Order: sequence, then structure tokens, then C-alpha cells
Amino acid sequence: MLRLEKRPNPSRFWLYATPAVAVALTMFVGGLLFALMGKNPFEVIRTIFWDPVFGEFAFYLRGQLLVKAGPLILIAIGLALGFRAGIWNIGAEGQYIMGAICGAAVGLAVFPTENRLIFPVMIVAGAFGGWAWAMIPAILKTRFNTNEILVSLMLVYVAETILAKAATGFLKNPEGMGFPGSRNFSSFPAARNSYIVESLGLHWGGVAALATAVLAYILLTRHIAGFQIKLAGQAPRAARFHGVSPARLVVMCMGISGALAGLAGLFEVAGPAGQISIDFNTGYGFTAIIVAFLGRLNPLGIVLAGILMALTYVGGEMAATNLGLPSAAIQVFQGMLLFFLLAVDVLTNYRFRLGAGAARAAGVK
Amino acid sequence: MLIGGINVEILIASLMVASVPILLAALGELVVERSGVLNLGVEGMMITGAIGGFIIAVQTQSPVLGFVGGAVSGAAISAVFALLTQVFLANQVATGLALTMFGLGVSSLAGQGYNGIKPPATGSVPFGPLADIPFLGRILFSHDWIVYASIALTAAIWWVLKYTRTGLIIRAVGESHEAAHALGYKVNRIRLLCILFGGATAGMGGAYVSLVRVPQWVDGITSGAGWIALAIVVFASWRPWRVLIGAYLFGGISVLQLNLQAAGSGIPVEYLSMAPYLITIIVLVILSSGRGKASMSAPAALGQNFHASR
Amino acid sequence: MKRRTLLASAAMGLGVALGGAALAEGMDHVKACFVYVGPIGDGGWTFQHHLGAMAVQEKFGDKVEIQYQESVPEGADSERVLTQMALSGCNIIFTTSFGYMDATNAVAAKFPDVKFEHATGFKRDHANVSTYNARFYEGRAVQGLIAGKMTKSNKIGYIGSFPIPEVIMGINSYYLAAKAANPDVELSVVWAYTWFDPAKEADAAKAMIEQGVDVIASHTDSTAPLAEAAKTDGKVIGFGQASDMAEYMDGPGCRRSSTTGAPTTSSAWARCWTAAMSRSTSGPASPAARC
Repeated sequence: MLRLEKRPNPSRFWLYATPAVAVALTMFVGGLLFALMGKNPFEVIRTIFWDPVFGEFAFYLRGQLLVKAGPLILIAIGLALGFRAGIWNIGAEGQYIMGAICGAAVGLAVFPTENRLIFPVMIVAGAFGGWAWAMIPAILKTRFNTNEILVSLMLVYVAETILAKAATGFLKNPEGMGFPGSRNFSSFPAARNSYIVESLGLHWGGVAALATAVLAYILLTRHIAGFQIKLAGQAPRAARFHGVSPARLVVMCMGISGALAGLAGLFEVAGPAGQISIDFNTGYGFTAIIVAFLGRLNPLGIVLAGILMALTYVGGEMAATNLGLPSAAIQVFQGMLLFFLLAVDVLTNYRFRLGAGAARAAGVK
Repeated sequence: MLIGGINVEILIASLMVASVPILLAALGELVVERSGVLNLGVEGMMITGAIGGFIIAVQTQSPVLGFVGGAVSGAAISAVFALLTQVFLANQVATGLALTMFGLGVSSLAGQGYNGIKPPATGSVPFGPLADIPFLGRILFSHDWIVYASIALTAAIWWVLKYTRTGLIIRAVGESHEAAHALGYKVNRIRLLCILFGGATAGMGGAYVSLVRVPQWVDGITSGAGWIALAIVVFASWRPWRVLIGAYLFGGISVLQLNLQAAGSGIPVEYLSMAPYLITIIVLVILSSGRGKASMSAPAALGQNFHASR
Repeated sequence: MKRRTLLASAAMGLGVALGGAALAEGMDHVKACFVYVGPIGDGGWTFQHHLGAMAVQEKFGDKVEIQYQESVPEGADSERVLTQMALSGCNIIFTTSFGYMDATNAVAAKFPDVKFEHATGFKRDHANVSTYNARFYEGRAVQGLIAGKMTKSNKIGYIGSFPIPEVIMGINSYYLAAKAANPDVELSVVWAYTWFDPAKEADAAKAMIEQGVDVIASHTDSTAPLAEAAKTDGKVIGFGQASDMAEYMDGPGCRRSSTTGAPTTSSAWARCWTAAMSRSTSGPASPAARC
């Protein structure tokens, strides 16, 4: 009988090979699905995976990959730090919203002043908004032992209501004929998150995402705080003996992930989205959780996972528009890709063996 | 009985109905989490159950079979999660979220052609004269059978977890899978069954939305109920009766805020609309800062996969 | 801002309008693209737009090629979808929700040869952008009149999504017409604070019914309020929204519900749209296609 056996060390080969295997499997099974729906599977697969990067309109779509991946990466890196320490911030979506509202409010308050300092101050305000929103579950956790999963999740809905209030009330565009939505930042150069390299889709949010990935990598591999995070996640008791204060860790991890989510919201509202509107948030905060785990909670892995995720969104849209696929079919396809990526990951740490292996039990994270 | 323009007996009767989907889904998720598995795909399982149940009910014209169909489709999609996390040892959080994405897509594809159809009605249980008892009649004897089934399920899960050998095994697996394994229990097999059970109840909860609460099929019909169910399990600190209280509290405040609006209360709408979430947080803070602090913790092995090489 | 009312017939008008616009340009093959805010299966706003698109296909056959994208979030994603559509050769693009307004204008600036039709907004910064809308408040006034005449309890209800101009306009129109027909009428408004949450919309309808309301109009997207009204065995009547929702209401002893926009006006709408939209799409930035 086929059995799983734990490898003494994670396989380096499979570490890099599993994503390729997963993508190949998804193409095969997804192709079957598309064929069942009466579409040419090769055409669909090519549209999703090839066209956004090398196709006719790649000059535009390549840039869009980073636009889409930027916020995912930024949020996912923050979340990954917490997840490593066993701190479950599920409410990044709410922190993203609050960051956008705070940052936008600061910018709109001084409209139409032109000053170089406005955008930097907005960035600080955005990070503060996300940080402050994340501090609510963090402080409730450290003071009252209230579970952070529930509080952070519930605060997403509260943030959505505040967003609706902002779009229809205190941030509403005074020249918007009474319609909901704030002023558009595209008409406010000093507060605008403009493209640095448009063909790459690189705006300040993308810069922040890539810089954060490098910083987080250094933090985790070189800094004592990174060591404490990993220790607290793997061996909480040992961490306590080692002098790691759980409360400080909660405040730090929630704070970092909240601030990064807030930053993502600010860069999005001042850049690609352009304004605060009732439906400003589109689920980046939740998708980023998947991205964090697909990247194996490793900052560099997260960058790759974020770009892959963005590719399925951008390519999926292409397939839906050009080939007339229902967007639900794209969702199913994305789900399948994630399933395969997560499933074949087993080969990194385990191998399949015939017959009985050594009798050994192991708990695996 | 009228308080502030709101009829209390009708309010209680409505909240019992409004809470059924999240109650059913949360009860299943409670069993799953007590066995040490964190399945964040409740929303995906609920909506799959909603369309599965709807299709079966429409095809057979039997609401009862519809609920069975909802449970079966919820369990079927949760089997994907079970396969990935228990056999391929995939990360539970990410797999659960992917399951939600997958379920939303699958339900939308399956539901094409079912828009604008009325499902067979699920009637109230005929209690005869009992339903005419003032106050209590409306609250206790005016509902459909699923409402009673959901309360019975709460009791059953409480009893099974607390007093039976099965419950002991589930809890052991969730607290320390290594110890349970050492005692000879098949950890992954037990967890797999728990996941299927959770999928079935989530599917029934979804079917309640499409067959009773709304009753029709539209894309995205559960609109986030699965997330609330997840929060309720945490709120309840993994105990069945507290799940019932949490679901009724959340459902109650949601219904109450709409009633307050309809009755023309002066409270600004945005505060009313945040109220269910804020009050849930506040109640949990009070519960968790009180005496019961020690018993608030999650199952020790929650979210951790288990591999035994033999 | 998602999914709002559209006369059932208005979407059909799109087809005629589109033909008019294309013919005015002297094109024999048109690629028309639609950006939908929800899934086609929403049973309301997007569903109705899609029916309109399909009607175009049917009427013009292979002269027209239809492409669409469902559930496009408003904001950054819509700008990408629009650009993609314009790049891939769409001649006319319908952006079917208010929230696409800024994205529509931004993309229109880059593609002067592509026509853009934006629903219900007010910005037309470029010659190739125009706005389409319908006098939704007229339908609401008809509903209000019916509500005022038919209510027995003198309590009528309105389920709103968000307090935005269009919804408030609908409420006012509904109330004024009801008041004119029946001076004793009282209006109760419940805000769902969402465009789409069937269970919550049903609860809102239920809360109103418990308060004695016997005529319910809804300005959210699902048909749930009607289904709730249908459970009362005809004691409560309701009005649908965006699509003809009568079929959701056929309960025992239930009165047929009326949907915004009476069927008799449909041909008039189509004619009106044809004229207005062919003008506005081929001419310079003209006032909104309102007639």
C-alpha cells in the first residue's frame, strides 16, 4: 500500500517543482472542465496563463499584474508574521478599509493645496488607520484574552459600515451632485499615488510591497524579533522561558499586519481605485490570507504567490471577456489551482513509499 | 407584549428563524474544530448546500429531500477539504479559503437555470391549539421542523461531546492527536468524518436560506453567513449551548435593528447596522474577561495536521 | 455603488439604440461589450442588462458581436477590464453601474474611437462618453399611487439600500404619489445598508409586516422581500425591482406584484432610447439620454 513517509529534510527539488506540477495538473483538470463547457481548453489555458504576460496586449497587462499583486503582497507579508507566531488576524480587510479612509481623509482635508508633503503624510495616516484598527483586537486579546479571530473578523463588517458612511457622508465629494463617493485623487496631483514606471505597473504601493518583502525577510532571518516570532509559533512554552512576552508579540504582529494592510488601502485609494466609494474594498484582505500560505509564510514566496494569484485574476478576466466564460467558471478554476498547489506541497516534506515505513508519529504544522 | 413599539413575542419568534442557518453551520464547525481541524470554508459549503438543496427540492418537490440534498452536497464539497487536509496534509486555513472560492463558483455554475423558480414550501409543524397559547404559542409552536431540528441538534451534539465515548474520542483527537494516536485511534479518519459532518450541517444551513429564509435561488445567496458562523463558534468558546446563544444573540440583534428602523426609532441607521457585530464583540469581551477565563481556550491541536507514518 | 433599478423594458431599448448608433457611424460589424456589476444570475439589474444584450444579438445576428464580463468590482479592476475591452477591439462599451463613472472617463480619454455608454452617472468629460438613464422615479410614483390606493392599514414600506440620491428620489416619489392618492398614508423606511443580502432583505420585509405595513417596495437587489410578502397569503403586496419579479410572488391567494415600470410603456421606452442614444453616442458630449 502507498504510504506517506516524512522526509528527514524538506526536499529542495520538490520545493521548487511542486508549483510547476500543480499548475500542470490544474491546466489538465481545468482544461477538462472548460472542454465540458464547450470551450477550446487550449485557448482558455493560453488566455489565462500566457496572454497576460506574452500575448498581444501584454504591454498593458504585464503592468496590471503588479497593480493587482501589490496590495495582496503587502497585506500577506504582514499576516504571515502573525500567522508564524500563532496570531490569527483574519480582519485585514477591515484594516485595509480603515487605512484607506484615514489616508484619504487627510488628503481630502487639504484639497486642493499642492504640497510635496501631502502624500507622505497620507501614507503615515493610512498606516496609522490600519494599525489603530488592528490594535482593537490586539488590546482586547492582551487585556481580556478575547479571541482575535472573532474580533478582527467582526470589525471588518463595522469598517464596511464606516466606509458606506464615509462615501455617503463625511468624505462625500462636495461637487459630486450628491452622489456617493469621495473626490477622485486623479484630479489632485499632490495626493496622488502615481505610477513610477507605468509599463511595469509600479506605483508607490508596488515599491512598498517589494521593499517590505525584503525587510520582512531580513527580520525573519537576521533579527531577534523574527526569531521570537518563529519560536512563539513553534514552541510557545519555550518562547516564554526565553523571555518572549506573548502580549508584546501580539501587539507587534497585529500592529505590523494592520499597518501594512492600512498602507495597501491607502495606496489603492490614492492610486488605482482613485476614490473612497461604498464598494471600495474588493476582498484583498481575505485573498491575502491565501497568498500568505501559498507563499509558505515566507516573504519571498509571498511575492511569487501574489503574482501568480494576480495572473489568475487578470488572465481569468481575459478568458471571461474574450471567450465568453462565466466568471463562476474562473472562480472554480482558481479554487482548483489553489487545491492543487496546496495538495502537491506534501511532496516537499513527505515522500510516497510502498509498504510500511518506520513507526513514527509527527505533528506537522 | 410591546416594548418601544416592538412586539417581543414576534421578535423572538423571528430571531429563532433568522438564526437557523448560522446555528446549523456553526454547530457543524464546532464539531470540526473540536476534532482539531479549522475549516474556514463554511461559506463555500453553505452555498453549495443552498444550491444542492434547492435543486433537489425543486426536482422532487419535497422540501425534506431538499434538506437531505443540501446536507449531501455540503458533505460532498467538504470531502475535497477532507481529502486535501487529511490525506495530502495541506494547510487548513488556505484550503478552507480556497474551498469558499471553489464553492461560490460551483454553486453559481450549478444554479444556472434555477433563477426565478419557487421551491416547494416548508410548512410549520402543526401543533394545533398549542400554537394559540398567548405569548409562548408563537415563540414555541409556530415554526417549521428545521427550527426544532436545529435546537435538537444542539442538544445532541452537547450530549455526544460530553457524555459519550464518541465525543471523548473527538475531543481527544482535537486536544492531543499524538496521545490519541498512541491510544490506537485513527486520527485522520476521525477528523475526516467530523469534516463531513460539518459539511453536512453547513449544507443544511445553506439549504435553509434558499428553501425557507429567502426562498429562491440567486447567486451568492448566503452572502457571508458562513463567516458569521465561524465567528459564532469562537464566540461560543467551542461549546454547543453557547453556539445556540451566540447565534440567537447575533440573529436577534440583526432582526431587532431592522425592527427598530421599521418602528421609526431615532437611532442613526449606521449605528444600528453595526450593532450586531459590535455587541457580539462586547459580549465576548465580558465573557472572556470574567471567571471563565481558563475554559475559553481553543482545542489545543486546532489547525495542526497530523501525520503518523504507521 | 452597485446594481440599481432599471426599467424592465429599458434594457431592451439598448438593442435598438445600439443599432442606431452603429448605423449612424456606417459600420457593418459592431463589437459591443458590457461590464456587469453583478453575476448574471442575480435575478435583477445585471440579469436584465444581459437580457438586453441577448436581445441585441438576436435582432442583429452576426452584425453584432457581444462580449461581457460579470461581477467587475468598481474601482481599479473596472479600469483594467475597460482597457482590456477597448484594446481587444470593442466599438462600444456599456458600463452598467454608477461606480464605473471615473474609470469610464479615464479609459475613454485613451481610446477616442471607442464609444462609452455609462449608466446613471453625470460625468461626460470626453466626446465619446455618454450617459444613459431612465426616469425611474416615474415608475416609483406609479407604485406609490397603487400603494396609496391599496393599503388597508395606511402603512406602506420601502426597503432602501444606501441613502444615496437615486434611492432617496425613489422614496420621495413613492411617498408623494401615495400621499396624493391617500392622505392618511404613513411611510416606513428600512435601510438594509447593502445592495444584496437576500436573508437580510427578507428580515427587513418581515419587520415591516410586523409593524403593520401591508404594501412593500424594495430598492435592494434580491427578490426576497417579495417572497416574504407572499408568505402572508395575500394580506401584504409588494413591488419588484429591476426585473419583472412577479413570478417570485405567486403564492396562494397572492396578488400579482407590479414591477418598476409598467409593461405598457415598454415600446415607448424603446423608441425614446433609440432616438436619444443614437444622438448622444455619435454626437459630441450631449446631455444624458433622458427623454
